Amino acid sequence: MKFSFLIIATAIMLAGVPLRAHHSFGGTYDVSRTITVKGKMVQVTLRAPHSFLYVEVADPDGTTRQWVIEGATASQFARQGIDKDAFKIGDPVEVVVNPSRSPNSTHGRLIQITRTTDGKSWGSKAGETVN
Amino acid sequence: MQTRTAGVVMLLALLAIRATPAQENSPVDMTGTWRWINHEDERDRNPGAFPGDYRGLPLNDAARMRADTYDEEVNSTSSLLQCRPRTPGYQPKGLDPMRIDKVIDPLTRQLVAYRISYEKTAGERVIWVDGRPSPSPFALHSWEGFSTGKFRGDTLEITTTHLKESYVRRNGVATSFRATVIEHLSLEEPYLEVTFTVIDPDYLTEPLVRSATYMRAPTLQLPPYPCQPEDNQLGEKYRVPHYLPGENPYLTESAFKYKTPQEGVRGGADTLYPEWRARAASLQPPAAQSTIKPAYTDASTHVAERADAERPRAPAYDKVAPLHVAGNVYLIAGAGGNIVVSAGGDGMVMVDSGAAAASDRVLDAVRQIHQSLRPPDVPDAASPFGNTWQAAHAFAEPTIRMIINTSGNPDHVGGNANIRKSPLFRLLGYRDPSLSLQVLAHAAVQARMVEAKAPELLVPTDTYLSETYTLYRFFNNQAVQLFHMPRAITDGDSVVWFRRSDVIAAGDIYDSEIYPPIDVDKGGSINGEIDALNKLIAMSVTEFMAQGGTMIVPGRGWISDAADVGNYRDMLMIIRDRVQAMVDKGMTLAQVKAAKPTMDFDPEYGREPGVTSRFVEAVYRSLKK
Repeated sequence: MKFSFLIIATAIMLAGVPLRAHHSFGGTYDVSRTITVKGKMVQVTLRAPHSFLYVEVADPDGTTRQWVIEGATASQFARQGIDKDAFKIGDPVEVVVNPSRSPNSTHGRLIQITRTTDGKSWGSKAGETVN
Repeated sequence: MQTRTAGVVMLLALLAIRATPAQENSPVDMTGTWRWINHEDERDRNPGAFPGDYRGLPLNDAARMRADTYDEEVNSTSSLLQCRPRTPGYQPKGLDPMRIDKVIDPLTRQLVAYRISYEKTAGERVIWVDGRPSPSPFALHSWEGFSTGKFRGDTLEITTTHLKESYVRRNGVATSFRATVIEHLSLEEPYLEVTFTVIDPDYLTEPLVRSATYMRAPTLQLPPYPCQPEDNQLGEKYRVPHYLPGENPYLTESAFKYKTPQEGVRGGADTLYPEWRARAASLQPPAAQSTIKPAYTDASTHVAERADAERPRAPAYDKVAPLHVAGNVYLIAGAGGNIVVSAGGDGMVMVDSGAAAASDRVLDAVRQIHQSLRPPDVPDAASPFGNTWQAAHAFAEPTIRMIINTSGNPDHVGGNANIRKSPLFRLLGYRDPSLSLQVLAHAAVQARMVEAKAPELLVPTDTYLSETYTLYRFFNNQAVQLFHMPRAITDGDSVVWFRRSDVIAAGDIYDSEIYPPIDVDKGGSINGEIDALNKLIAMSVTEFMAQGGTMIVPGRGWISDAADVGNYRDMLMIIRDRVQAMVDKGMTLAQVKAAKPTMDFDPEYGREPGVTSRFVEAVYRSLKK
């Protein structure tokens, strides 16, 4: 009985998972790998078809690189409580991403983001990763 | 008794239904909202098509090479691709719900068209069922294309042409702008079965037939989709992510993961038939993922050689015809190079004059445009001269006021002399013609034509040397500006922008159906050409979802928008990078040509004799400098 309930609950949750990618996430990113990007939020654009978070990462030699992290569409974020004020410019963040398949690319697919100052995060719950 | 009464009522009701005539051209009612049922191609949606997986696709080797070198990241980096809607050749695999409406003629009450809206289309796709003819081959291509429909029994058959270059799978398997899509919609309440067939002479060896099922969803509403593309290559020069041939490490990933033979994953028509099963049974999946160097050998890889082997055809100018572009700007196509005309109360300014042998027909087209003009509108801009100026110049007969040449290409300047000698050529300005603008071009065009001892009446009379040149006055209520594109096709190329109509005459820097005719000896270069296309794209604005808006008329081919130019620019950047890698390895021109760096694009852009060879040589020489 519990098992059946779990299946039904999972099915309901998955039914709500948006499958609206304008491109193939599996083709763009290596979905079998995750890496963590640590840096400072420099731009947030919540929009359709996908939102982009820009994170500036400081290298040990003092240079900086910009990571472009692709996430859910603005309306999907909004339904899950992420709006323009959720993460702000200058926030120190740790972002778990599927890295791009493209060589030398600093693009990634958003899996989880955490603001290190207060632990606010998105992506840890089922259905938050967008396909 | 009650039973008998009920029976009579039912019989009368049936007769009434029977007596109600169905619309002649719409035997069944497909209108309503429909939900896509995702029972096929689950892996294709989630996580998405893997690179190198061409199962079920009758693609040719040119399509394979193009997909093998494709990097899906381009959809994130190019703002012109992020919001592109799906074409009908992929849409039914694209999960969107759809709504079908009817467009009814208010007088005859007959069906004129179906309108199909998908969640992620720019507007409404129109399926004309009123028997209208296909648009000109020079008309704008769109993501939805031009569709006509007719019922065969209870099945609606839709034929769509004028499509933009797109894809049939989200891993780089391309469809050409020459593709045709035929859809069959059959109603089996509450289901709508859609069978859609892609016929692509450039990238498929036989029709690709697929199907999808929709289910009635009366309460479903299409949500808003305010797609907003973004240039997210901050601080970088635009680049096109792609792999050099033989360097994509992911081409065996799908076969390895799904434990299927690599030969089947590579697709092709022979893998679609039952006989393939017996052969596949003897094949093994790859033991590990590895980088492979595929060989490309089929007929699609010899398009350029076949074009070169054709006997040169004498140019024919029997189909010269005008076509409205936007605002007061028209295209005269079929006269060699395209001619762009702004027509109105001030007369006509003509961008390029076509080939000399086409001049009589060009002048006929000018007269046709003139006949189609309405009385001059009062300008809607604040203008102290507008009303009186328009009234004073109300047109009585067709008048060509000046010619602007985008280059010295004979297909663009060849008609200069004939037009200037025509009685329709009446200058605007001083009474002394020598003081008035007659034929305007960049100074380099004039200099090279004088150097080549071109006949005097062909040579531009007026020139400019600056980066931009603006006509001294509004012409037909709009500013006309020239932009010099240095080191593109030659050192003298101009594009001409009609600002209120928002039409750009691009000249030869953009030819929608052939490689650009870069002439290194006259100052052209591949990087200058790419810079020019980037500038052209930057000048343009799409109306919504990567289409429409600024119209760009190519030197040859069909009316385009920034998305078409973006595809063309990306193609040139990919070829440039391939040739650059060969130059870096020290390869000779002969070796580069033998390696066929354009092979996957030749079916689209290399179908004319000599074009591919000249283009590869021009790219090589400009990179070798």
